[in-house]
Amino acid sequence: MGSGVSPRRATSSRVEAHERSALAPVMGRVGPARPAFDRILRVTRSLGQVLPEGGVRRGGVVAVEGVPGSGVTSVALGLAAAATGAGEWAAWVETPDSGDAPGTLGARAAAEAGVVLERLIRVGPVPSRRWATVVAALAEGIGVVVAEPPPRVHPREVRRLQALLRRSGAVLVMAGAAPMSPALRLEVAGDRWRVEGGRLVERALRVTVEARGRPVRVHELAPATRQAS
Amino acid sequence: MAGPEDSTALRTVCVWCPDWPVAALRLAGHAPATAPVAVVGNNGRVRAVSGEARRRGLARGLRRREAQARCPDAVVVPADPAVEVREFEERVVRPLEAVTPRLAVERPGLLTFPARGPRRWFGTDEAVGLRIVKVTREAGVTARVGAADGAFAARLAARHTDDAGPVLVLAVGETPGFLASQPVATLGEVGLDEPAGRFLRLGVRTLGDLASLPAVSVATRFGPDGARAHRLARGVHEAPALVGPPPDLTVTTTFDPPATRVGEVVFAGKRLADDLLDGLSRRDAAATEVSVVVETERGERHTRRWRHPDSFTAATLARRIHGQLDAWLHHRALHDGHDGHGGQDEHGDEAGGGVTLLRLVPEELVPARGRQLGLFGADPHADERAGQVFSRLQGMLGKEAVVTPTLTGGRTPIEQATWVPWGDPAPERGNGAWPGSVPAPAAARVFDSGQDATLVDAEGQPVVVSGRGELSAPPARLSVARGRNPQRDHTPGSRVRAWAGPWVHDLRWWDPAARRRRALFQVITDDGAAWLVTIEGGRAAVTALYD
Repeated sequence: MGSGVSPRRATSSRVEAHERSALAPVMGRVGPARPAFDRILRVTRSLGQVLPEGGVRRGGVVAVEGVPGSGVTSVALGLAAAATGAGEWAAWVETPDSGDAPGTLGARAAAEAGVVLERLIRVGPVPSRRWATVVAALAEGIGVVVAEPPPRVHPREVRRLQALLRRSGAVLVMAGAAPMSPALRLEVAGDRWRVEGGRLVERALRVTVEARGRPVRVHELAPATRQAS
Repeated sequence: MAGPEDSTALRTVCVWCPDWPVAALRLAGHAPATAPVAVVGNNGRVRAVSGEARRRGLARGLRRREAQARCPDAVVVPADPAVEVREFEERVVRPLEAVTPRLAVERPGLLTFPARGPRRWFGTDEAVGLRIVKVTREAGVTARVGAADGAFAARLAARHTDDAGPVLVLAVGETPGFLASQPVATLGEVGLDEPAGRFLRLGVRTLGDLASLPAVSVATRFGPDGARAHRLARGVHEAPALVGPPPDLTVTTTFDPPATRVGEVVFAGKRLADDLLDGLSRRDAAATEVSVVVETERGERHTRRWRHPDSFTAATLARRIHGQLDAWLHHRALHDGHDGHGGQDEHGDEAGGGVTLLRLVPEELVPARGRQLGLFGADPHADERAGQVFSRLQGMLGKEAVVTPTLTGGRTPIEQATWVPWGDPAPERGNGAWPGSVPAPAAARVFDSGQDATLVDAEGQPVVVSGRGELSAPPARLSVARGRNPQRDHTPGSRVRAWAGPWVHDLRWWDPAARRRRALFQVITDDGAAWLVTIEGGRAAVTALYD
């Protein structure tokens, strides 16, 4: 418990990595607590490898865009998995018309994407007028909120929401066109499927990563290795 | 739900000594044995009254002057918590240790223990109860005994006894009915006077009324205390969520040189209590049972288990430590002739023989407060914070709008998962293979009711599947009704780039009237989207999208 190590805000990622490794044995024992310097929510699997900092910045907005069926949901699930893998909760907010992508979230796909189902909550359908309130409430309490954007949100509510995110450290993932300017924009295209042995096997996802202040990069995601489900 | 095995596990016996502050003073010779007695606490209000005084209109909570006005010949004596602890220890706890070693003292005058152990010796809960009444009577104490499923019910049962029948045993399964008939005011027993008052004002009169309210609304509206009251009313045992706390939560302090004054040990005890609660709160836990262990340089060791109906604070725990030391030293002074303790002056006494060690062992832990969420991992507060948000959203959007999934087994994406409102019990996880289910990867978007579609072959004829699972022709075009917007209905139809399947399900084949057959296809359209299409009774519908 009283390990004597006091987490302090690191200035460079090297210091961060150093402190991280110094703390590793202690963290294993005490488990809890998000150290103050943990500003990045690490994303695992192939998605993490194409993100600028190996993850997403806490307190920011990530937009995941693409046409229905292109893999937007799968990529957003990868971000939700980062939260549940870190012992936090992930929420999935649905709107009545579910934006461009119809239907509701499939639990089995969530599990395959690495989401710990015990810490996944689905909220909805949330009417447009309540969307900002619901997302704000969730952002106050949990790690990653994936939300399908409503037809429109008042700019004032957007500003309030962004301020709240910065304070709480939650990540808001907009599955669809974001009503605010995102810190990270992922454009997904996944139209190449491999059909083998009389069934769909996997698909190649192409993700265009656009992080603020960095050049735009296009990555091919290695197909996720299927885990026994 | 509590099965029979469960209920024996939580079967609890409660021993209650009525009007203990009065009884203790009488036993110690500080109050007259027959005259009406009112014991007044530090705040100037009556803390307890004797039976005679009660019959003459005195009651708890009266001001000293009111009491004297109502019953001028009542003897008013100041409360003496030290005497209460000491006499209880001497005349009730010690003798009862012969009945069971697992006694937990909630406060002087009230203790509980699990029924299971002693019942093996005495045969029935009644026999255990009668034994207790006999043992305490020999020590000059009137005791009442209640036994029920759970500590709260046992406590109420003990309150329902009288001189003629000092033991009340609620048979296994009787507890919920008994609880339902109790007025909500009984929640005051466990320190929930405040929510009890609010329930009453809303017209909720009995615990049964309270239990019939939905748990979520009670939790949202009345907070953690309300939720706890609701659990008690439903007869849900306040089970320790964490059993067998890790040993590192135990805190110990040693005295070198040995502490010779009670005050010194109590002072150290306060600090130790702080340390213990600090360690617990870091794990998001609170203690409801703590053992206090004292050792002296003469090699003596004294252990007492204390219980708190809610959970200990540093102050309440320090008071228990004080009481225990005091009672123990007094006992030793009486029995060894060792002049270690003189009675009234609590802080100046010698802790005869010198205390060398004081240890606090948390015996039973509960989650710190609010809902009993599982403690999964990492951030210890994540679950609590999340839980608060979820109940708030359920209050805003309705319970069914906030749901959590369990994989329950089945062949189609809809059947494979069950989403239940947050806070409701999760269904059993499904396992085993489901022959004919569509293999992984799973579709990320599922259409609960299916979306109308047409799947046609190259000639424009609907694709049909025969009884043996043979296709009329390979699918060539798929068109899907999108959304609920009629304008966007039926896209012109996309060319099928590739397809797989079918997976044919013969449902309820044993019942000719209800027998259904359906065929599932994976279809990839021109734009690269992959769909799960179900054909049943000649009609096609899209049931999932691989997004």
